[in-house]
Amino acid sequence: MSDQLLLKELRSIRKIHKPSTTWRDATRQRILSLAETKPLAGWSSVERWRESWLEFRWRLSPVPVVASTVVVLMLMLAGLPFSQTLAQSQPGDWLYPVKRLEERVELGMRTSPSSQGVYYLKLADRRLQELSHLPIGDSRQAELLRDYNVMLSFAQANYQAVAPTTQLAQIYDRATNNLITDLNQVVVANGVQNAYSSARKLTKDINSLSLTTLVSLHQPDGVSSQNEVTERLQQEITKVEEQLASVQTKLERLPGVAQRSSKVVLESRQQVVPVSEAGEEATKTLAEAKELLERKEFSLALEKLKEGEVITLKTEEAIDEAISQDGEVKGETVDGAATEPEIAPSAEGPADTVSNGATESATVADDSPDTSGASTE
Amino acid sequence: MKIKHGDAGAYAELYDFYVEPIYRYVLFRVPAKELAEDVTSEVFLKVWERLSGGSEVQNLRAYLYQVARNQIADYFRKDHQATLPVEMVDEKQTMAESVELERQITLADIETSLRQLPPHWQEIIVLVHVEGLKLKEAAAIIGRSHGATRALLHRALNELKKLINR
Repeated sequence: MSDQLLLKELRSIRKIHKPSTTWRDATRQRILSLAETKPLAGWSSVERWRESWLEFRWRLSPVPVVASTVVVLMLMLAGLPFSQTLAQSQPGDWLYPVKRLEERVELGMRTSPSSQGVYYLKLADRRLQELSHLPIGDSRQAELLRDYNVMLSFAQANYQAVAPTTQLAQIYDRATNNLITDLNQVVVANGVQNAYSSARKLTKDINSLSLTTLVSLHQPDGVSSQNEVTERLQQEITKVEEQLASVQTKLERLPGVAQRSSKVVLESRQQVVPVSEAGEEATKTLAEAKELLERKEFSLALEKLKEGEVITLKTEEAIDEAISQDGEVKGETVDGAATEPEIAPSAEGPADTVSNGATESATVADDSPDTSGASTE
Repeated sequence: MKIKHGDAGAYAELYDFYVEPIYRYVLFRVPAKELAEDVTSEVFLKVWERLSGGSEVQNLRAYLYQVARNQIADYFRKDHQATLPVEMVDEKQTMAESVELERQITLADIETSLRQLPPHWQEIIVLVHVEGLKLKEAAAIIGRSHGATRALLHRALNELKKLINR
């Protein structure tokens, strides 16, 4: 075999050995999910400028310079109406890539971490708005959620990179509060539930971070006054109380045995209590938070509020778990009972329990954010 | 730079671009296809962790090969019983159907002979002649000088020819 032929054949080996598509996609997914949960490093101004310039140059590279200059001039002359069209463009529109490019350029023009962070919050909000316009199951949902998480992670990194001020904390607090509300209204396909859960958690974390800053930096007559902080904490307490009320409604549906056997670990008090008592503990904790708030003990009130929220969440998790286990057991009974359809439901008979159990499970599944994408918060 | 700041989208693009060559490079050096998949996954996860952790990298491709090289070495260190196989798993099934039978046989012969070479000879042939890396880049990956790498490649090719013609 000649040298030339050998080298040619060696080169053709690369066309043969390819990884399987299944493995390739699974690994890609694994890396992306790891990336979504990892905190990110902030950008320096120089890096941001350089990156934006490279991105801009790369995007324009296939376009002749003269033609692109003419287009840019036309865009500038078109002015406001065009900007509005651009802002309203959705994924799939021909203008959408221009919108994303314009965002990159604007980001590059912001030099301070706080200004970049605020702009990232704005971009996260845009991605969420775009997401809400997509039909459920659209493949672009995953991409937009991923972008949302990335934008929000950058916002968080920029927030942590500066010494926070009450003004910045207020902006972050309001923005993330709105994002939480919007996220709760978004319905996503089952395939993107993990990214959706990460988005909810990340948004909540940043909101909690900025609220803590607001409380710790408040001044009697400053940007974040006592009244503002009181009002904000009161809002949060109300939210948790509403959540607790829905948890207690769920608890009422839980059969007595499950109520007694399910436990909730209260780490802050180093106690383990039955699920039926955990709700009461949460109510007491929130009442304490209110009392502290009345006494203007904001930091302590925030601590109690967080404690109450954690107990509420844990109680809800325990109830959901008990209901799903109960549903599974009853599901088996349903299969068994299916051979005897003639048995009429009675007040205490097994057929009645089966019927109720099935209804309960279905109702909970409909309400649950993990199964429907919409939140009960 | 984007990856350094945790841009998952940019890393996904990098993954799509390099996963095949890295997988092939690993496949030639470990005993089974499944193992090649595991090692390749580890390579990309490790590189993501390092890049998003702020590591500066000048030549990303060379860096990926270096990490892959270390991962393979780790595998052989952990499993002392493992040796590079004389005969690899039967890969004929994966050959493109468009490749004619005669050519398949020639390719199979070349591949079998390639796998019989000592690991460092096999590695340099795969890097330069299968994956098409420049000699300078291959030298950086295997940690030798340009001259030493050229000599190594020359010897490796000669040995491969001998094995094929045997």
